[in-house]
Amino acid sequence: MHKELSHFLRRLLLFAGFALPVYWLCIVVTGELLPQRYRENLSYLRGAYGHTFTRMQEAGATHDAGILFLGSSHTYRGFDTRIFAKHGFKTFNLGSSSQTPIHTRALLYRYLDGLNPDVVIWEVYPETFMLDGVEASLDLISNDHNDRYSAGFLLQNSNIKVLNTLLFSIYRNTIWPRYNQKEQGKKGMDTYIPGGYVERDMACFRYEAPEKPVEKVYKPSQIRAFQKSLAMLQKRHIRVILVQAPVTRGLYATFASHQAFDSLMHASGEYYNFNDIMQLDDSLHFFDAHHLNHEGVALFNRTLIKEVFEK
Amino acid sequence: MLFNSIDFAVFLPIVFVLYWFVTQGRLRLQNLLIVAASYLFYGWWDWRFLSLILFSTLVDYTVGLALKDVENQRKRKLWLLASIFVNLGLLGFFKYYNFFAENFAAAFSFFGSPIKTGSLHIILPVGISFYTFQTMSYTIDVYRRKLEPTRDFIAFTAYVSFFPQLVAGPIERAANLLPQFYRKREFSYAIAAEGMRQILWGLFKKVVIADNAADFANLIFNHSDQYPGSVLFLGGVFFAFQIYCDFSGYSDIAIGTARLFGFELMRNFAFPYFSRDIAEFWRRWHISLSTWFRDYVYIPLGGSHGSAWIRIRNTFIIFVVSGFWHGANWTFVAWGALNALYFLPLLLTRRNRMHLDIIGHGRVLPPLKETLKMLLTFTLTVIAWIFFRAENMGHAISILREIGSASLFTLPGGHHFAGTSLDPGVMFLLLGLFILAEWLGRSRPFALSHFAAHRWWGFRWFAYMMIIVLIGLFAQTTESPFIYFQF
Repeated sequence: MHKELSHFLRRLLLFAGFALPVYWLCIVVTGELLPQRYRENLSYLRGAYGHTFTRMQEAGATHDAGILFLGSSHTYRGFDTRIFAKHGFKTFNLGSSSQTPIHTRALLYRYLDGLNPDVVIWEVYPETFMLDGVEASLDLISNDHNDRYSAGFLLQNSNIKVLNTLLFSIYRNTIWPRYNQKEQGKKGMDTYIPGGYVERDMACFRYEAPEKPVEKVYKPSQIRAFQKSLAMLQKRHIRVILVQAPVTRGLYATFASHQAFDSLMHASGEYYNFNDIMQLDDSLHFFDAHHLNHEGVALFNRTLIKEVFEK
Repeated sequence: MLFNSIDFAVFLPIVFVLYWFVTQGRLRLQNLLIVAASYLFYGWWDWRFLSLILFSTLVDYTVGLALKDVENQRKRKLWLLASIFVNLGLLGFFKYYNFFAENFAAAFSFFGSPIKTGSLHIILPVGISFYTFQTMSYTIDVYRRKLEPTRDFIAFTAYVSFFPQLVAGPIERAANLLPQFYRKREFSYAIAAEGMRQILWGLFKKVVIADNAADFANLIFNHSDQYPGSVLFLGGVFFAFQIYCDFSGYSDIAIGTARLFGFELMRNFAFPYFSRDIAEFWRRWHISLSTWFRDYVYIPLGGSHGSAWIRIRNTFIIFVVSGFWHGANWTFVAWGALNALYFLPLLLTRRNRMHLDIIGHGRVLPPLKETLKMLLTFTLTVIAWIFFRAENMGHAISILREIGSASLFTLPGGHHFAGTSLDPGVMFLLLGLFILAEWLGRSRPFALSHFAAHRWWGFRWFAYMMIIVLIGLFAQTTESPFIYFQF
């Protein structure tokens, strides 16, 4: 019996040894030859949206940021580094699409030493605590360098799309390190502003009736990553300011448990919920349900500076 | 625990290693490990319902022993009825209580005497229809003296809860599976390798074909009022592939997994869409359930013997009960009744056992006449699947009405499938590849064994790699449960 069993296991290992490189090769060929619509589970999106590639390149070259912004697209579309500069603050915006606390933690490990901020403003949108993080993983794997934290995304997500994209990204970064190294500053209606902010051409939001409020369930792994990052920042004596950026009233109303989330954030540190602090107009100050337009960003940033630094 | 989950990918190798290396081939220890693994596998979903499996196991174990000791026929019958009452009682409560309560209320309201019946928020325990039928087969076979009752409680518990087939079959007969728990298991390279191949093929069917077809079928059925007849018919075709690949995929993974542990489970599907009439389809579809109903319901009712009326009655009973087994909804009953209507002409003209061979055996393509018969049979099953998939009878009838209209001749376009994650062209290509593989392998236990039979290892490994790459590129990324978990 043991002879057959060991033969079986040997053959299995042999096949695995054959299958892994062949699979990788197939992913590379597919990624190079087929357009996105024909390769559903390979989502290598370098420079696709949010200017993550440019931002990460700039983050690597920036030192002593003063204030560092962290969080999802609410961050890179919500904190205009030029407004802060006018008020005498040196800042860097390290937001990325759908960035969850797990991804924030990885970015802190990658860039905190270089950026060396005195203050971190972390935009804590409740939904980022509920996400599995696949979108953020794909964004960072495609647009940032890959290290052990990329493997961590894979373990965290257990998603074939993340695996395929990581395999393809490793290939591209290794074989074609200079491929697609320049991202256009202006893409569609978005313009990248040095320092990490992405400015959207002036647009207004058409009001939509709010959906029914639903109870949100936060992922324990995201809460753990959030708490660990806070501990790490506190250990370095960095002032951490937790901020909930304004969203449209319609969207805000879909959260059934503001109080519970606010309590969690208050218990975690210095926290400001600008949905309560400010009264913005859904149509005039947003370009979609999530994101502020020029006017909204300017109002929000000035209010934040006043509330946090000038009071 | 789902077969298509990371949890199972970790669970299976651990149990495999413990089973073959740690137990050192000691039978009782292996059976005990199977019980523990099976309870963990089931409890992963909801541990509270483990008590139901244990209760069912205890009842049938006790009844089995009582049937051995009691000679009096009346008392034997009472013991059997007790077992059936408990098993069907559990099934009836968890699966059918709300259905009957609501329909009684509706019937009384219809006759002008409205009554109030309370509906309960009952969670349907996964796999209850499967393991209930499996334990009942044991008691009935012991009652019929076709099987010696077991005194080995661990072996019996392992038989009832055997994790590869616990939640969605194949519904094993005690006479086939139980004795395998008494026999010393020898690891066989050939059997285990075949098991791995079957797991791979089942996984491909589930995560690539079924889950993607489900995406298309759900889009069409959920917005059926917006589509012409041609697209609605395509929706039925997508559902036909979804349910086949989902369920037969599960069976393949179950059979393959059992093989890794030295067990041989019965075949559950034999390329049903290559059938030339409905009778052949039913010999090839969900074989373990069809034969269960045949042996324990149809034959005791008289089977195909007796007058034409008796045969008609028996056929309707078997199909309607089979439909109702799937769920507490009139759509399942209609699906069963429609299949009975398809089957009856064959039965009454005694042409129901015409096609016992494999279509186009030894040929690349089947003769034209057989091809047309096969297409007609497939069309009939698609029409029946529309009842199975529809939300209610009104929904099914509205879809069929649209299919029966002139819009059946509207050419479907890409815009009809906007919102699916996979490009329609890729979906049709995958379906085409799948049908080709199934056709080539139709004389084998499962399609991939056709490619595995090739002499050159390079060709075999190429075939496996193709499947792995297709899984990697086109598998749905969310773990979706198997359809038959709800039955």
